[in-house]
Amino acid sequence: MRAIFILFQKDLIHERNSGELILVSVTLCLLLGTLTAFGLREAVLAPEAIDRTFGTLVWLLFLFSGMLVSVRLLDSDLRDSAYQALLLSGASPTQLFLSKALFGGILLLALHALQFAILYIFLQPTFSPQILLFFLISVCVVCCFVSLSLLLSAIAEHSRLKAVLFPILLLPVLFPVFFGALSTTQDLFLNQQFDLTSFWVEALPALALVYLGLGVSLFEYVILE
Amino acid sequence: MFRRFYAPITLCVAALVSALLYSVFLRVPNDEWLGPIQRILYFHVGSALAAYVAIFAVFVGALVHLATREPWCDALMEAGGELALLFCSIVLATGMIWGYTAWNTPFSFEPRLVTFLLLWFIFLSFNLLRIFGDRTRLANHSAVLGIIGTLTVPLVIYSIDFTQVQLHPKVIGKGGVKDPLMSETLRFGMITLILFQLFLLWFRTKIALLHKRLDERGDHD
Amino acid sequence: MKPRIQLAQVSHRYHERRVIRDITLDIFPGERILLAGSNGSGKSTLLKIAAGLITPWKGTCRFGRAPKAQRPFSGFGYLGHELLLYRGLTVHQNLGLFSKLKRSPLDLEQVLQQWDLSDKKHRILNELSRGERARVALARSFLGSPRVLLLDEPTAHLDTDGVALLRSHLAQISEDTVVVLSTHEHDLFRSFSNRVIILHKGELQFREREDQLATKRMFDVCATRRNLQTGGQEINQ
Repeated sequence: MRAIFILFQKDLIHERNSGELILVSVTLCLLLGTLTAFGLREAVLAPEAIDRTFGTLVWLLFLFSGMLVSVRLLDSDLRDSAYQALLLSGASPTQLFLSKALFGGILLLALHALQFAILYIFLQPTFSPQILLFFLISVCVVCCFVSLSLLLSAIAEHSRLKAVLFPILLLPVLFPVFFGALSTTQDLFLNQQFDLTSFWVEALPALALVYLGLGVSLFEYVILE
Repeated sequence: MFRRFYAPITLCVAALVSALLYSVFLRVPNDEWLGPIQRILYFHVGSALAAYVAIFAVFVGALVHLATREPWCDALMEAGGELALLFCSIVLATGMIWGYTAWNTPFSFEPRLVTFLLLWFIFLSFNLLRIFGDRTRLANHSAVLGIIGTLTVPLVIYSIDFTQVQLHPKVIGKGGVKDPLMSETLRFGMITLILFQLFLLWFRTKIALLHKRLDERGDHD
Repeated sequence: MKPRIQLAQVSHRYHERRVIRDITLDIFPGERILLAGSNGSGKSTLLKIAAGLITPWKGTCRFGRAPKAQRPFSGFGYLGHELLLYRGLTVHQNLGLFSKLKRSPLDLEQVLQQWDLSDKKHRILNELSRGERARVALARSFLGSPRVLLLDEPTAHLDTDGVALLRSHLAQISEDTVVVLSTHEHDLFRSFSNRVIILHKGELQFREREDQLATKRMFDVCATRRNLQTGGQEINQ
C-alpha cells in the first residue's frame, strides 16, 4: 500500500509540474461536449428524442475522450524506461498497475463528470439525472476501461503504429462493457431507477472486478521483456 | 515421428470434406421455405463451432506460454488467431447471405451475428498486433490480448442472449432442423468442419514452428 | 561463497537475431568486472539480463539464494543507455521518489552535494543538459548502497568532473558490492577492476582475472577472434 501511495503521489506531482494530461484532457472534454451539444441542437430534435439518446451520447463521448486520455497514461513511465527504475527500487508491476489505475480512474471519472455536466446543461433533457446511481455505473465502467486501457496501451506503446493500434485493440474488448453502460444508463434515465432483474446490474460490478484482476495479473507480462 | 501420418491424415480430412460437399450439394433435398440457399446452413453452423475451437486454442496457447515460454505456444497462438479470424469471416458471410434470404436484410443486429461480428473484430485486432507489434515482446503481448479476447467471448454471448429478442432460429436442438437427412448432414458438417479446422491448426502451427527454427538457424553466422 | 548472480546457458535475441549465445557466468560478491566488447557484442543485453530487466530467451539467471528470478531485486543499482528517470519531475523529486521506494533513510541533500547537483535540485529534468541528466542517472543508480551495481557505459555524456566523481564514488563502495562496468574507456577503470569479461558477437571470449592482463592490447583482441590467440600468448610471456 505504501508503494502504491508513493507512486500515486508521483503521478500527481508529475501532473502538477507538467499539466500534460489534465489541461489537455479538460480542454478536449469541453470541446467535444460543446461540439456534440451544438451539433444536436442544430438537428432540432424533439425533447423525447434527446431523452432517448442522451445516455448513448454520454458514453460515446466518454469512449472517445477516454481513449485519447488513456493512451497517454503510461507515457511518462515508458519514456526513458523510467518504470524500470521503479522496479529496481523495489516496486512491483502490480503496485505500478494499481497506482496507475487509481490515478487514471480518478482522472477519467472527473472528465466524465465534466462532459456529463456540459451535455446536461446544453441539451437540457427532461429527466432528473439520478446522480448517485449514475456515479455507481460510472465507477464500474471506468474501472473496466482503465484496467483494459493500461494493459493495451502498454502493448501498443511498443508497436510500430501506437496511436492507431491502441483503439483497434481496445474497442472490440470494450464492447460488452459499453453495452452494459448503455443498457443500465438508459434504464436509469428513462425509468428513473435500475431494472434490478437486468443482467447488467450484476454484470458490470463483476466485470469491474474481473478486469481489475486481469490487469493485476497480466501487467507484468506487458511491461517486462 | 509423426511424418508418416501426414499423408494419411491429409487424405482422411480431404475425404471427409469431399463427403460433406457431396452430402450438401447432391444428397440432401432443398428446404421447402428457403430453397437451395438453406444449404449454407451446413457450413455456417460448423464454421461457428470451428471458430470457437480456434479461439480455445489461442487461449490454451496464451496460458501455457505465460507459464512456460515454450516456442510451440506462440506458434499455436499465431495459427489459432488466423483461423479464428478466417472462420468468423465465414460465419459472418454465410450468416449475412442467409439473413438476406430469410429476413430480407443482410444484417439485422441479430444476437448471434453481432456476437460473431465482435469476435471478428477481436481477432482482427489480434492479427494486426501479430503484424505490427514489437517482435521482441510479441509472444507475451499476444498471450495477454488472447486471454482478454477469449474471456470476452462468453461475456458477449451471454450479454446478447439476455438483452436481445431471439430472431436466430434454434438450429441445434429444441425442434430445429426436423428432416432426418438434413439433421444428419448438419451433424456431419459440424464434425467435418471441426476436424478440418483442427487439421489446419496443426498444419499452420507446424509452419510457424518451422519459421522459428529457420530464423534460429539463420543466426548461426 | 555463493555467487550473487548466476547465468546458466543464457541466450537472448532481438527481432529474430541472436545477440547473446550460451553464456554461463558466475559473479561473486566483491568482484569488480570490466565488461568489454565491440559495438553490438551483447554487453548491454547481458547487463539487462543480469539486472533482471529481461527474461532471457533461453537459459536461466538466478540471484543469490532465490530459486528463480521473477523480477528485478531492490538491492540492484543499474545504469543503462536510457535515463530511467522522469523528465517531468525535478532532480530532487526524482531522487526522492526512488529513495522512498527503496526505504533507505537517505539524506538527499548530502547525495545531491556528493554528485554536485545541489544547485540543480529544483530544476525539472527536461530542462537539464544531456550531461547533467547523465549525472542524475548515476546518482540514482548509486542510491541506497546497492549490493550489485551494473553500469552500462557510465562515462558517456559525462565531462571530466563527472568522470572524476564517478571514480571517487566507485572507490568508496563497500568491499562485497558487485560492480559490472561496461565501457570502451578501459584505461580509466583497469586499476579499479579485478576481473575482465570480453564479449564477441554475443559469445564469451574471455573471463579471467585482472592479474593475468598486463597490457592494453588485451582489450584490442575483442575486435577479431583471430587476434585473441596472439594477445593471449603475449600476456603469458
